[in-house]
Amino acid sequence: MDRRKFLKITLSTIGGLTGLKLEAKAIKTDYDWNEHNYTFVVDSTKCIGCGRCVIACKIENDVPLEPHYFRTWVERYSWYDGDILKVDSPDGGFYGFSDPDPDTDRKVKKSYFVPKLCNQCENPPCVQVCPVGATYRTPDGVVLVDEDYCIGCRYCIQACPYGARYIYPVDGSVESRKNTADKCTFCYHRITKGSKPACVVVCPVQARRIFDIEDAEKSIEFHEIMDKNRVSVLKSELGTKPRVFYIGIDSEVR
Amino acid sequence: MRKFNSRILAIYATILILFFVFKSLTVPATFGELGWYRGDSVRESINLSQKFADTYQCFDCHVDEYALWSVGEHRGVECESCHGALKAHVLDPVNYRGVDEYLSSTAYSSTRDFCMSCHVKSTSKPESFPQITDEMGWNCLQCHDPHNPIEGEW
Repeated sequence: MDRRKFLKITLSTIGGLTGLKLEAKAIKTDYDWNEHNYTFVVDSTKCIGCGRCVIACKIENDVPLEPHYFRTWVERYSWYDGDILKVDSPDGGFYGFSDPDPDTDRKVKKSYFVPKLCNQCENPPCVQVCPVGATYRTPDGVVLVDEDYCIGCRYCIQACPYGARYIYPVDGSVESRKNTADKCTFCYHRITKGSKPACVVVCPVQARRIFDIEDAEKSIEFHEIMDKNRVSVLKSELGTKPRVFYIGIDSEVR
Repeated sequence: MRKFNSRILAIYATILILFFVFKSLTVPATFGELGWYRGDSVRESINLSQKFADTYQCFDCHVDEYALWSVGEHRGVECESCHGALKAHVLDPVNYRGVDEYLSSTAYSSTRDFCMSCHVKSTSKPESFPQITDEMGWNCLQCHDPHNPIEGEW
């Protein structure tokens, strides 16, 4: 093969591949993520621990129904006589909670439920550590996982201080997700079409709410909640800047 | 000297070209389009199918239930909170009757158990939430209409 022929072949190969690349950009959506910005508010003073959010999330997102795979779960924080704090989350709250906690005969001083989900941090440690660029934060404020590109190294699971990620099991129902990291996406396929996330839909007491703060009306509502309540985020000292705000929790909730 | 340089240059050029060919073969098509990730993965996330519908879609047909529910104490509870994921029923109401086996009352051994999944008494619940103990064993539906629980048949 002479040099000219070689160059010709290489250049045309590159040209052809570029063409293929442009062709592949066929998936289209008319959603503009620069016009949205999602924030979540969890009101722990309203939560009744019924666990409907846990079930709904699993159904909507094809999360395996058996225990210990969760995109969202409910924890119970209970203070007993003698300043003993106990945290429990039987099956993530999937079947609700029995009362009182069967493991103790001490009197309950204070007790409440805290629903947990991915905090969609503005400064997400899980995105920082991904070695292949399979997880990223979108401009509308959601951290997503590319299940085709994820190599299942579990680094992000180690990095997340909130335990929001898990490895999708090999016997799960979604083929492309097997052995990859999976997490709450604020039901990205729903919010991008104007629907609420499944957990927000089913919450009977409005303990879970989502706000698009680029939307003028929702923004006013959101800021009213921020102004009138005592609001905190989980593990603020880590500098992750969570976008899930909690109403009515103690500093022991982490 | 001149010959030596041109040979090195040729080798460099070949390696570079081979590198770019290899790169374009292995890097996914839309990688880097929007950031340091595959652009198509965003669109795939958006295009996932929904299993829960929206409450307003129910009332296109179920008008009577809306009339009851919208003025009752359960008006803050959306349809699918008790009836389960029913997007399939919204899309095809004739063929898909829509019973959800995990969230609706069919998941519980009795309608009483179903009501109790929220209303059972618990020290962890907010005091303002209506809670009952399990002593009587009555059938809740005798007195309460779940769509408007206070205005039931007393």
